[in-house]
Amino acid sequence: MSVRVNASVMRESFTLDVHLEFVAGQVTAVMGPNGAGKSTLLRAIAGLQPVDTGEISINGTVVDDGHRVLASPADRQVGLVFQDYALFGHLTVLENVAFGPRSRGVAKATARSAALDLLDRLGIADLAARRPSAISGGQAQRVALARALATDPTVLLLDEPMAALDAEARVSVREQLREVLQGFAGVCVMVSHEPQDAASLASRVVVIEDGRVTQDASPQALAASPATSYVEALMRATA
Amino acid sequence: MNRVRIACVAAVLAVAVTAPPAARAQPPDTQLFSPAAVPTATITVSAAASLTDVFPAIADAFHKKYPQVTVKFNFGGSSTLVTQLKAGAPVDVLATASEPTMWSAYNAGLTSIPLLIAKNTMAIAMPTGNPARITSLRDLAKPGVLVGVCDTSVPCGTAARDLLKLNNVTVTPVTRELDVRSLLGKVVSGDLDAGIVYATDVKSVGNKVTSVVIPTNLNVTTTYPIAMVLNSPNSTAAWAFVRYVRFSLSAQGLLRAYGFAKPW
Amino acid sequence: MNTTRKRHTRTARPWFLLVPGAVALAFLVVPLIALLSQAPWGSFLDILSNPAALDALRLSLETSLIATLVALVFGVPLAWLLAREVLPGTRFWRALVLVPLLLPPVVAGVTLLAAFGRRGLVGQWLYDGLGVQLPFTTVGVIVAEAFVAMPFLIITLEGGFRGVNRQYEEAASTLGGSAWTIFRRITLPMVWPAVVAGTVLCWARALGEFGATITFAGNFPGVTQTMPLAVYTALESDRGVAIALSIVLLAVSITVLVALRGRYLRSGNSS
Repeated sequence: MSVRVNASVMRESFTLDVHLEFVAGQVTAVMGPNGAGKSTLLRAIAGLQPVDTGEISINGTVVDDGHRVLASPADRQVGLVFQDYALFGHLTVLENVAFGPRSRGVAKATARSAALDLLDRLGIADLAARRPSAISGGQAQRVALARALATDPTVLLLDEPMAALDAEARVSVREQLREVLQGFAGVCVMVSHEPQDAASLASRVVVIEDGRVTQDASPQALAASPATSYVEALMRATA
Repeated sequence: MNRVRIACVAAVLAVAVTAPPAARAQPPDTQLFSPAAVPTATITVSAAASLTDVFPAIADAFHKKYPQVTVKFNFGGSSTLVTQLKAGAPVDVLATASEPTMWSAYNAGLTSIPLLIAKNTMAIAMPTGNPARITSLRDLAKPGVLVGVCDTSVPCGTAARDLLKLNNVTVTPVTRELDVRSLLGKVVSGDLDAGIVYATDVKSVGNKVTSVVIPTNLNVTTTYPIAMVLNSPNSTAAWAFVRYVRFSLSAQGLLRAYGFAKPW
Repeated sequence: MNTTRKRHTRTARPWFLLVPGAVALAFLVVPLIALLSQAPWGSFLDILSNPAALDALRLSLETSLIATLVALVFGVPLAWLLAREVLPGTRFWRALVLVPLLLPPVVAGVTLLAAFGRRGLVGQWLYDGLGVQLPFTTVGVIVAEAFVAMPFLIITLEGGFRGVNRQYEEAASTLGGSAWTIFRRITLPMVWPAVVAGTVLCWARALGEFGATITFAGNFPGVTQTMPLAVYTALESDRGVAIALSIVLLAVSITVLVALRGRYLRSGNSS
C-alpha cells in the first residue's frame, strides 16, 4: 500500500511541486512555514483539490492525472481529520462517527454499533449521545479521529491534529494518537507545526517550503543536520 | 282689497318672468364664470375611472380659459372616491359614474347639488379578430366563452348586470373586475373573449378591440353627475370647473368626441 | 425587606436604541389597534358565516400553501446554485431574481399576462397547443403568488447557503457521502433556520398578494377571489365587511407565525 504524489498544484501565492511516496505502516510528518503548501498536499491526496499537472496514485490506482481522471473524495478511501475537526454540529457524536459507514450503505443499526465500539476503543464511549458543542477540544479531536477511522480508510490524513488544543490536552491526546497510529496499517500523513509531534508520532519528516520539498528525512536527521534556515530555526525553538 | 290682490298677482307674475329660466332654454356659455372672477387655485377633482381619458382633455381646455387654475385628478371606482371623501380627503370636485353614489355623498352633506354632465351606454368589447365570434349579447352565454364584467360594487358592474337582465341573458363571467379599465385591458390583451364595458371605453381604445353595439332600446344608461365638494377652500375655482364641464361648448364637445351622450 | 429590582448595565439597554425601537414598534402596532377598534364586532359572525368569506379564506390558505411549496421545490435549488456561483453570470441572475420584489404587484401581474396570457410568449403555446389556460383559474392564482413570493425565499436561503462552511461538506465527502447524501444530511440541516425564515416570509407574502393575483388571475368568488381580493371588493361597498375580513386574515397569519416561531426556529435539527 502506498500513495504516490508526482504533481504540481498552482495556488495563489505559490506552486506546490512535489515528488513523494508514502508507504503503509509509516507515519510521515509534513512540516513547513505557513502558506507553504502543506494543507494543499493533503487536500490533493484527499481529492478536495485537483492537481494541475502530474498525477496522484493510491495503491497503484491513479486517482488524479491532471486531465480527465479525477476520483471524488468519496471514492478514494481516504480519511481526513481537519484542523478544526469539522464535526457536524446538528448530529450527536455517535451519529457523526456513524456517518461514513451509513453513507456507504451500511444499515443504521450496524453502523451505530460499530461506531460505539470505535468510540469505546478511544475511551470516549460516554460521549456518544452528546452534541459536538458540548464536548471539549481534546474530546472533539478524538471524535474526529474516530469518524475518519470508522470508514476503514487505507490512507489517513491529519491536518494539524493538535493545533487547536491547549498544552495540557495536547500531551494526553498525543499519547493516545500514538497508540492509534501504531495500530493503523495504512498510509498516514500528518501536517504539523510542532517538532515534538513529529518526533513522538512520526518516523519520517518532509519539510515543504514555498511549494518545494526542502528536506525529507527522519526526525533525528532533521535535528542533527537541518537543510535550511527554516528547519534550523524550527529545531532550535524546541531545544 | 282689490289693490292688494292686483299687487300680489303682479308680484307673482314679476317673479315668474324674471326667475332664472331652465338651462335648456339658455345659451350654455353664459352660465360660466368670467376668468377675472376666479382666483388662482389648484383644485383636485375625484372622477370615476371611465372619465380617465376625457377629463384631462377638458381640464386642458379649462386651463386655457382660466390659466390661473391648475386641475389635478384622482381617478378611481366611484364608491372608493366617495369613501375617500367621507374619510376627509382634500378634494374640491366629485364626478361619479352613478347617481346613487353621488346622492350618498350629497346626503352625507359632503357636496353641493349635483349637475348631470353626460350619459354612457354599454357595449361588448372583443379582442381584435373576435376569436369567439361574438355578435350579440346572447353569444356571451355560449359555453366556453370567457366573459368578463365589472363587479357589482362598481357602477359598470351594476350596469352590466342590469343589461343582461334586461335582455334575458344569463352569463357566468370568469372574472368580476374592480374597475372597468382593468377589464378593458384583459380584452385588449386577448385573455378574455368579451367584456361588457362602457361605449366610451370601446371608443377610447380604438382599433385595439372590436365591438358589438347594443341598440338603445335594449341598452342600460349610466348617468354622470358632478358636484362641488362643500367646505372646499377653493370653492370658486371648483364651482367654475363644475359649470365649465356642464355648460361650456368645449367641454360638452369633448365629451361627445369621446363617446359620451348628452345628459339631457 | 428583600425587594430586589433587576438592574441593567447601561450597555444592556442603551436609550439610543430603546427609543427608536419603541417608535418602530408603535408604528407597526397602532394601525392594528385602529383596525380592531373600527371592526363591526356586532355583525362579525354574520359576516364570517357568509359562504363567500369562507370561500375566500379557504382559497387564500390553499393557494398560498401550494405557492410556498412550489417556491421551495424550485427556489431551494436556485438559491444553492446562486450561493455556489455555479452558473455563468451569477451576479446577473442574482439581480434578476430580485425583479419580482421591485415590481409593483400589478405590474408583476401584467408581466405574467405578457408571458402566460392566452396571447403571451409562452401562454400562446400552452393555449393553442395544449388548450391550457392560466388566467382566471386557481392555478393562475398560485402562479401569481409564487412569482411575487419566491424571491423572498431565494434571497433568504442564498444567504444561508453562503454561510455554510464548505469544510463540513468536504468532510462529508471524504467520509463517502454522495452529493445527495451531503445535501440532505449535512447542508440542508445546517441552513434550516434560513429555510424556515425564508418559507415563512414567502408564505406571508403569498397570502397577502393582491395586485398580481387580480391582474393575472382575475376576481371570481370560489375560483380566484382570495381574501385580499375579497377585502378590496368589499371595500367598494361595505367598509365594515372589509375590516372584518382583514381582521380574519390577520388573525390566521399571526396564529401560524406564532405557532411556528417556537418550534422550528431553533437551529440544528437531528436527521
